[in-house]
Amino acid sequence: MDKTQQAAVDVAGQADLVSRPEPPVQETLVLEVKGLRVGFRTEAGLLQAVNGVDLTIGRGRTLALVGESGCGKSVTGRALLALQPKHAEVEGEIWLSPGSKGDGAGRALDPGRVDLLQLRPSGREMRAVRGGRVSMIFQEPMTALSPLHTVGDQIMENVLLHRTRNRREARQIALDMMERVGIGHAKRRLNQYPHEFSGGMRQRVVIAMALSCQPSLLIADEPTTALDVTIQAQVLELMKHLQQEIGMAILFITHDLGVVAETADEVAVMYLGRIVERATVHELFRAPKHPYTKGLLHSIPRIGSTQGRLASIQGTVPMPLGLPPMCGFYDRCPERIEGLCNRRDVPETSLTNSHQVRCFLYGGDEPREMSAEHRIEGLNKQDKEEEVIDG
Amino acid sequence: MVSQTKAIMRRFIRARGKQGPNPDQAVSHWRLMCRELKRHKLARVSLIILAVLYLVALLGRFIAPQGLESYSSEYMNSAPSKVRFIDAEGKFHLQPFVYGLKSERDPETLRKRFVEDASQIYPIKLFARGESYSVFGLFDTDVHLFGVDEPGRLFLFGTDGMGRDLFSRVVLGSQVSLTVPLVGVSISFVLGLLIGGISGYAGGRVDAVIQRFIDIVRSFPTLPLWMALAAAIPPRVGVIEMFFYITIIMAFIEWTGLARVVRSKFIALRSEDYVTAAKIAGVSDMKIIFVHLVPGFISYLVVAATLAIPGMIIGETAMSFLGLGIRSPATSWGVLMQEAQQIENVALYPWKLIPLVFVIVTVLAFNFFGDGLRDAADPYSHENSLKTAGRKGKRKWTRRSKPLSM
Amino acid sequence: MADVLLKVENLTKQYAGEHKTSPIRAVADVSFEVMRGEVFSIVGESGCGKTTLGRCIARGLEASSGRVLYTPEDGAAADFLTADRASFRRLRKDIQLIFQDPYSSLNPRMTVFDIIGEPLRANFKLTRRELEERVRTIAEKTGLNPQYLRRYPHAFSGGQRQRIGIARALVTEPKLVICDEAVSALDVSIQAQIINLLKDLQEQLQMTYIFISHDLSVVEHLSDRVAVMYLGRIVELAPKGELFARPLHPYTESLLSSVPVPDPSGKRERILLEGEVPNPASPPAGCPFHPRCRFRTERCSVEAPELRETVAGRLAACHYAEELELEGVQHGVSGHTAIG
Repeated sequence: MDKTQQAAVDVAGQADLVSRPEPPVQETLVLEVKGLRVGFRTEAGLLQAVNGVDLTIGRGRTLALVGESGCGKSVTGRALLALQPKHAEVEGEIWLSPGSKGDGAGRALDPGRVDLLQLRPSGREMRAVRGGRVSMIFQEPMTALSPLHTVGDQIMENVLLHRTRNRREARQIALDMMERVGIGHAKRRLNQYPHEFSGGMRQRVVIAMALSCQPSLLIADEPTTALDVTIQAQVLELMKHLQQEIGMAILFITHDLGVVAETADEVAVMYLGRIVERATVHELFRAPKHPYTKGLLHSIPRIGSTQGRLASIQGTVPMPLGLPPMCGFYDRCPERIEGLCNRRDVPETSLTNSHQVRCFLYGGDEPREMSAEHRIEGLNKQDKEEEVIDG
Repeated sequence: MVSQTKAIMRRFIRARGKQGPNPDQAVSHWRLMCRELKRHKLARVSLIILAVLYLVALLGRFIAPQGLESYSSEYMNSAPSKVRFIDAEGKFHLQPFVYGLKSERDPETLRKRFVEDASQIYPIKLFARGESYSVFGLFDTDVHLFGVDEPGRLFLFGTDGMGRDLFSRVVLGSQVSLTVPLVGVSISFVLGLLIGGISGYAGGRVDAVIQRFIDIVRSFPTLPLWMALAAAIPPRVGVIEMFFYITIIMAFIEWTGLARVVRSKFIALRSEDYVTAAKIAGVSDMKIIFVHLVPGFISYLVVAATLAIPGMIIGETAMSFLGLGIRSPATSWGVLMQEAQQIENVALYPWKLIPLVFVIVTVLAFNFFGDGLRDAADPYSHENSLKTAGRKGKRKWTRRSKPLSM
Repeated sequence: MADVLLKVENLTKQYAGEHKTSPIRAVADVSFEVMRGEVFSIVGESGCGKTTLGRCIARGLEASSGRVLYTPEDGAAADFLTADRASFRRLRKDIQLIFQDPYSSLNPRMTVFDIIGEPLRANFKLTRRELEERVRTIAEKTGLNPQYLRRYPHAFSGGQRQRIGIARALVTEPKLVICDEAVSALDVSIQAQIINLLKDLQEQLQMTYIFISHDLSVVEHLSDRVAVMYLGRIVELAPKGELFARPLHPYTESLLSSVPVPDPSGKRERILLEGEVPNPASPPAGCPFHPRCRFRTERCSVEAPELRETVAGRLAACHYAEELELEGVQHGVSGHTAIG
């Protein structure tokens, strides 16, 4: 009964969406997040870690979610798989579209387009999604691996859960995965325990586990932050390679703009629980619009450039507690417009089809002339920090 | 998984700091600890109970109607007196009173028993005059907290086989039972700090020798050890000496646990960056120990010591129960329980088990208080500083790990 | 400029191996010189011994053998590691260290004032007023609000805590400051603030830095000369510009090639290293890098190369340093991200 009803709702939801005059891009979207909000009740009040996030990821694409610590990027990643703490309050819609291979190995039970937030966090459907259609890898590979089981068993466990019930077949898949992630002597290493692997190799094992069921979406939460540069380069290369093979979409959560430039197709910059700018990677690095994005790009030292002094963003990230409806970056912004940016909520402005920014400097609901006037005022207030425009 | 979700929370806590220091965060470790302790309901209640118990022990002779030596042979094994407000005629008395007692024989069992004589009413008076005693050796007085006029008798908890007031003996016994662990823990605290500190600081061979010695001490079965040690105590010693000996025996066993705590904390803290920083800054070793290391674990040691007290109470009780400790007429809760150990007491005079209730309550109170201290000892831990209000304000940040199917 | 401030000679730090294995040499026979007023960087991946080296120089750890000759402005060089009590007391304040972790390096039970004042109390006899004056001065210099000095560290954010750590290191007016991954734990925008602060303070107080980091972009931004460490040894040492433009050691080359460049249009071929850093308990025979080196020959697995001057002013520990044509980072390629 319940299931049929649910299915009906799903179909209805789908029909509703199809009927809308949306561009055909819609069809290839793997993940569509709308108005995601995650809050934690604390003694000090409601901590709004994620405050209305919209995301879309196309099939086979990589979206980088960038931001500094505390901006809510990890919480977003976790909320997608309902891995948030129990007392967290999650609102919004998380639509997951069917994977690319509807016929694929053992994926007979692909329920079509679902809103993950409608599923029970630890129900059967959600568990089928986790590790099956959507996988996640974390910063610290050791936390994702059990020290008590062999690496092979751990990869096989996932395969047995989602792809096949045949142990021999599962073992073959595990072997194959280990070879694909570049672990030599896979047959022997299958029977080893995680502590016998080095940090980089462990992350490879975790990737093998995550990709063993050919997910349509991989959420990678700072997957290379704990690794050394040379190992990081190996792992990034591997992920790129596997993405081409499997065709999954990747949500790459990171704070490292260098890694973003190397891996992402699109970038969403997050600040204080909101996405302040979203663009293709080329647009973002070539022509960042939001003052925060600009500040971030200015503040990283670059090899080979002759910067005299780094431009830094003044101040620190505020706590997302009891925020008034205003631009979260206001206090730190060198281009702020008093009386506007601190008065109202900033709407998102589309600059091009692929470039959105949440800043009054580029429109919003205010008359253009007025904001321009204010803008000059704001610019005058700018700190004496030099504008370093590359070297 | 848990560690990761905690990491997120920690980030937020750090992020909270990012707002810049706000005045009420500028408090010391001990203040934070007190604040946390106040939030711990069970610990608060326990603390109040303990305070009352110790106050009673301190004012023992004032509160106890009878001294250690006195007994009334005509009132052996009397049941607890019933404190009444309404007399046989249904008249209400503002001041509580007891009836007089007269003894008679049960016609069937021929056993002596006491029945109330409703014709005699003895009101319970505050600050009644009774036996005289000396107050801390300063002056003599005969004022007691409460009492009844002669020849009335008030036995709140009944009497024992020698006609001694059990309430008085519980109160006076608490003087021994509640102070032995305190003194014992203090001694083992010093021993543990010293020996554990040397072990942790010196390291190497010294550490190894001390640790093996601790292993040996800890591997002694406690009961035979007590018996052996008690046998070494001269048979006719005074109460004070006996008290002293028991304390030493208890401390001798207990310090090992505390020394272990000190040593492990010492080693853990020694490799902290801020200790290295002090070293590079040129701070002397002694100063590093007393400025950086000791304050770093003293709160944990206090917790460990608090949690060691119940063990000592039980230990003292057990020793006295075995007849190895304090002996009559001096008393402790263990002595009282020893006196109540025959089966006939349990069957016929169940009030003799009242001291057991006190032992249990005290041990529990110390345990709960120690738990509260332990939770409070780490005020920087996210669990404490970011307790989520949650539903009904009760849910804490204690999410169990959920198996992640990947 | 050609004035040697610190001369490290054959510094070795050994740890006893577990279960009767041979001892682990975290730092193996390292020698280099640091000039007065320069920023000397030590780069390497985790476990290469750079942190241990820094701590041994500052005597946060006791070195197993070797010498650290320090030349004060008005005096003869003295071995910092074996100096007698009296002279060590004099030298102590001249060499200080800034820690990586702004959380564990500050005692949570001390106020910021006490933390910053601690080195002063230990090294000088000052009146209360003088102490307060000096702490206040350094706090202002490092961008801390002196009003907050009575607070405890947990009330501060990571960036502010790092400023406290810097203030503590600089309060004795040291001549040499070892920055051990001093900005690695910080967010990008905060990291830039601290890098700028370190630069400004160096100018103001005329200090020399040994900057230890794994982040090549930061190293390139800050340093004058760079030493690359691998498995406890220095494999290459050169002025910054030359090292980044044309590395002489294959390890340096692959390290440079691995750094992600924040420019999506500047994609290039990467030289990926095979395998991972070997266990320092059983380093490979011959050149420690040879199992991962793409130019290895028979000789590399037998004979350990010495750190030698291959080009004037540049040292490299590779048998073929002169012959190899290695790729550096071209100037301009990665810097162009026109922003506006």
